[in-house]
Amino acid sequence: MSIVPLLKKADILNGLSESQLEKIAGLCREQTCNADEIIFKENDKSSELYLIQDGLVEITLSVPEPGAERSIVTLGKGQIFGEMALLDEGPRSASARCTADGTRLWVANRADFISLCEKDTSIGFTVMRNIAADLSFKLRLINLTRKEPG
Amino acid sequence: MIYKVSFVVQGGGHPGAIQNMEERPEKGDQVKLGNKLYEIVEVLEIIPSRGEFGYIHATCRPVEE
Repeated sequence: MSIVPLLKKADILNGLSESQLEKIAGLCREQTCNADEIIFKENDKSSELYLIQDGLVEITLSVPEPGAERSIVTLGKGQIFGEMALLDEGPRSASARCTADGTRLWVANRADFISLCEKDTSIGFTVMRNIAADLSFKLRLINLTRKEPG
Repeated sequence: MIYKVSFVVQGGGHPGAIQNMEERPEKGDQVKLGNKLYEIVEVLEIIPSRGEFGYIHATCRPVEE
């Protein structure tokens, strides 16, 4: 089954043609996870970008108390995560934990993704612009959450 | 149109969420974030739509169950 119809619903791929989406689809593999399953941990080495087809993923940060963590956002259908490492190659900036059984993800390897963006610079420009817009959208959410009286 | 919606929950008890919706959320709608139900109390279009995507911010409050 082609995942192109799903990819059309992901805003980081907004503006790509059908044939460009087919190229992205060729990089993706499916992963399913269940509630409380850790997808990656903060400070892990990073090499993959994730797109949520269905389900929920909670992004958390560690706090000074040993073993404790703070939830920063819950991501659902159509959202990406792991994109910071895609851009800066640093370790994971936060942890990702599945919070719904049967959560379905599409996973792309960073090196393959970057290679495609370099070979097809139209894909590269569009995706990088969209990832920047996605990060901006997430920052706006965090800013709005901080303004909300606790 | 696909709406990318960021949810902020009043009261600070929830960190917020982002998910895509196929219908534009409206004030008074109820939405489930995780296991809990919330009512939308305000909807803002925070940035202009691009292509097939609209970008919406919704403020919600917990629904007493």
